[in-house]
Amino acid sequence: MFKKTLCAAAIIASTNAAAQVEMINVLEFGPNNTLFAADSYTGVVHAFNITPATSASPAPAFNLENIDQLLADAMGTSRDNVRINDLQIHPDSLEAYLAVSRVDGDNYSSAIAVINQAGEVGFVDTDADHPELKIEQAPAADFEFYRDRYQGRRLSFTDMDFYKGKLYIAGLSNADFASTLWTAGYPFDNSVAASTVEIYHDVHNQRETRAPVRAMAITELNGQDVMLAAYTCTPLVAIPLDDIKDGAHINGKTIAELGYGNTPIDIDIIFNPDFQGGGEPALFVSNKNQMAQVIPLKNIAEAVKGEGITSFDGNFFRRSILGGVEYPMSGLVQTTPLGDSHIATVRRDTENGDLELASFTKGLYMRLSDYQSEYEIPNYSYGEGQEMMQGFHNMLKTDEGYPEYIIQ
Amino acid sequence: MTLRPILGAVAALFSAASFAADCTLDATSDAVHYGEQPRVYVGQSTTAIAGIVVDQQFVPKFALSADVKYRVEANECENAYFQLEKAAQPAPQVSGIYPLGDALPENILRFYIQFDRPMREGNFLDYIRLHDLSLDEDLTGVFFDNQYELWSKDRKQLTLLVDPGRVKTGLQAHNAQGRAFIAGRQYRLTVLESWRGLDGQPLQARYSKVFTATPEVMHGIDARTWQLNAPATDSTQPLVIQTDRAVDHMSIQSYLFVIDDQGKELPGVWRLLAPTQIEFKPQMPWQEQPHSLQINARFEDVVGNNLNGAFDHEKGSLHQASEGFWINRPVALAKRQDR
Repeated sequence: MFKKTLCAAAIIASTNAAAQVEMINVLEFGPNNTLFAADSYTGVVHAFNITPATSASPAPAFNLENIDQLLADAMGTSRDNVRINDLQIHPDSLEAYLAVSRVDGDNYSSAIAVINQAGEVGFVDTDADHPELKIEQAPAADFEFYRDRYQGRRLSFTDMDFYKGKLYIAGLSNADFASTLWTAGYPFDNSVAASTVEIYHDVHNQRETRAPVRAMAITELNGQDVMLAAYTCTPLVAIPLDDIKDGAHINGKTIAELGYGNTPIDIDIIFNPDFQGGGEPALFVSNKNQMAQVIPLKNIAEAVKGEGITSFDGNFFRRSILGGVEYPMSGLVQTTPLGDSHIATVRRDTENGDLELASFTKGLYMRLSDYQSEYEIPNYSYGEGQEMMQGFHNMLKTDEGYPEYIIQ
Repeated sequence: MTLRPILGAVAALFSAASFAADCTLDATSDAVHYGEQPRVYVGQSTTAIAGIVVDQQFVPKFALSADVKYRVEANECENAYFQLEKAAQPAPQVSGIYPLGDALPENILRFYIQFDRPMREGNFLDYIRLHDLSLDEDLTGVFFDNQYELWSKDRKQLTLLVDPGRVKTGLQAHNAQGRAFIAGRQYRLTVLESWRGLDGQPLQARYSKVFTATPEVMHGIDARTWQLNAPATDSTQPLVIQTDRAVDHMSIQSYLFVIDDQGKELPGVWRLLAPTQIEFKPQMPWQEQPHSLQINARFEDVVGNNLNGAFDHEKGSLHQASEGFWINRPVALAKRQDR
C-alpha cells in the first residue's frame, strides 16, 4: 500500500507569495546580470535580474558628495533617514549598486539604489518576478546588542561571494548562535549546504564559534580554492573550500591578526599595481577602526601553508599583517573594487557628516583633494626631484574631478 | 532604535488644499493627485522622488512620510507644498482562525491565522500552542516546521500546515506517530500575545480557537449534491450554496465563479458564512438569463480533498488524470417579487 502521492508541495506552492524585501544588507553580482541580494530580516537570498546601463567604457571614478541627500531626495525622505548597508559595482557598466534602507520614524523600507558617475539615481525593481532562496536557520534570533544600538538580526547574513558557479553566504544562524557558512548552486535548486565554523582568536585567547565572519573573499592559493575570512577584532582565517560540506563543523586556520578593536568592512582580491608596469595580486582589507590594508597574496599563500596562529603570546595588541602595507582610507562605510584601477567607497566626511561615493586610485589609496599640504598652497611650483610627485598629483586631480588644478 | 519595515501603504490623509479646478491637491502616503503628470520632490530639491505616474496620479516607490515637507509640480499647475498627517497605528490582533466551526475532521490539513495588520516573519511556532483539552496536555510536533513560512503577500495571513506526513496514511510519520488529532477529543489552538507585528508591537491579546475533532473525511467532494438557493432577478440577493462538508475558505476565492449565458464572469464578493455555507453577493442585479456556478476541480475541503478525489488517495483512484477540470451547476433565479 505504498502508492501514495504527496500533494503537500502543491499546497505550499499555491500559498507561497514571493518574499517581500525587509532588510537587504549584502549584495553580490553573479553571472548574466544577476544581482544576489541577501535579506537578513527574512532569511531570503534574492536573485534579481538587472539591466545595467550600456554606455561605452564609462569613466570609472566616482566623485559624488552628499549622496545621502541624493538618496533622501529620491526616496522622499530627509538625509538623516538614509542608511547604506552594502555597495557593489556592476562589472561592465561600473554603476554603483547600493543596498539602502529608508528610515521613517520607527519604520523603514529596504531597496537597492543604482547610482552612476553623473549622480543619476534609480532603483532595482524588487517586486519583479525573480528566483529566491530561503536559507534555513535564518534569520538570526531577534536580540539586540547594547540595548537597541544594533539588531542581532542584522547579522543573519554578513557577506556573500559567487565563485565557480556557487554562492557562498556567511552569517549567524539562529541555531545556538552558530557562525555559519551556507553554500548554494545557481540557478537555485532549493538545496543549501550549511557548515558551522570555529576559529582560534588569539588576542581573545579563546576558540570562537559564534561571532560570524564579517567579510570574505575566495581565491586559489597553493593550487587549492581557499576562502579567506575576516572577523571582528580582526583575525584573518583560511578555510579550504573542500572543507565546506553540508553538516560539517569547520576549524578555520587563523593566519593573521589584522588589528585589535577593529571591524573589517570588506575584503577583496585585487591586483595591486606598482606604477612601473608591474604589480601583484593582493588582499585588500577595508576597516572601520583602522587604516586599510593591502597584503600580498603570496604572503597569504605562504601563511596558509604554515600551521597558523594557535596560541596566545600574552600580547592583546598583537598584530601580524603578513607584510601588508597600510593606507590612509578612513571614515569608510562600504568599499568594493571598481574596474581595474579603483576602489569605490561610501565614506563619511568627518567634518560635515556627509556621505560620499568616492573612489580611490589603486596603488596610491588616497584622495589628493582631501588635503591642504605644501603642494596645495597657491603658487606652489614643482621643483627638481618632484617630477614623479607632480605626475601622481596631476593624475589624481583629473581622477577626482579637479582638472583645473593641474600644474604643467 | 528598533525599526520596522514598511509594507504596503500607511494610510495618512491630507486635508486637501484647493487650487484651480484641475489642480486640486489630494495626497496620501502612496498616491498624489495634482493636475497632470505630477512630480514630487522633497522640499526644494531638484531630484524627483522615485515613482511612476498612473492615471494622472503619482505613485511613489517609497511611501511618503509624515515627517517630510514635499513639493509637487504638475503641468498647468503652480508648485504646491504639502505634508501628510501622522496616523497612529493600533497594535495588531488576530481577526480569526480558519477553518470556521468548532468541529473539524481529524485529518484536518491546515489552519489559517488571520491578522488585521502585517506581521513579523520568523520562528512562527514559538507563538502557537496546541492543547489537548481532553487529556489536559500540550501537544508539539503537530505543525509542519516549515522554514519558508507561508505568509500571504500582505503578511496578514499565515497558513499553518499540519505535518502532511502525519495526515496521510501509509507514510512514515503517520505510522510512527499517528494522526495529530483524534476524533472525539477537544483541542485548543492558541496564538500568543507575544507575536509581534511588522511595526514591532505585540498583539493586543492572545487568541484561542477551541474545536472538537470529528471522524476523518476520506472521499472527494461531490459538487452535484450542493444546494443552491434561487436569488430573485433584478435584485442583488446573494447566491447561497450549501456544501456537503466544511470547505476551504481560500478555495472560494480562487475556484468558484458565477457566469452568465455568454460565459462572462459576474463581478461580486465571495464569502464563507459558515463551515458549509458559501455566499456570492453580485455587484450588479441578476439579469433574467441562464447563469451557472462554475467550480474548478481544484476546489478543496478543509482536509485537502477536491472534486477530483481524496487528498489521501490510492494511485489511479482519481476521477481524471489531469487536475483542474470544471463542473457547471445551473443557477436558478426566482421571479422578481413585485412590491
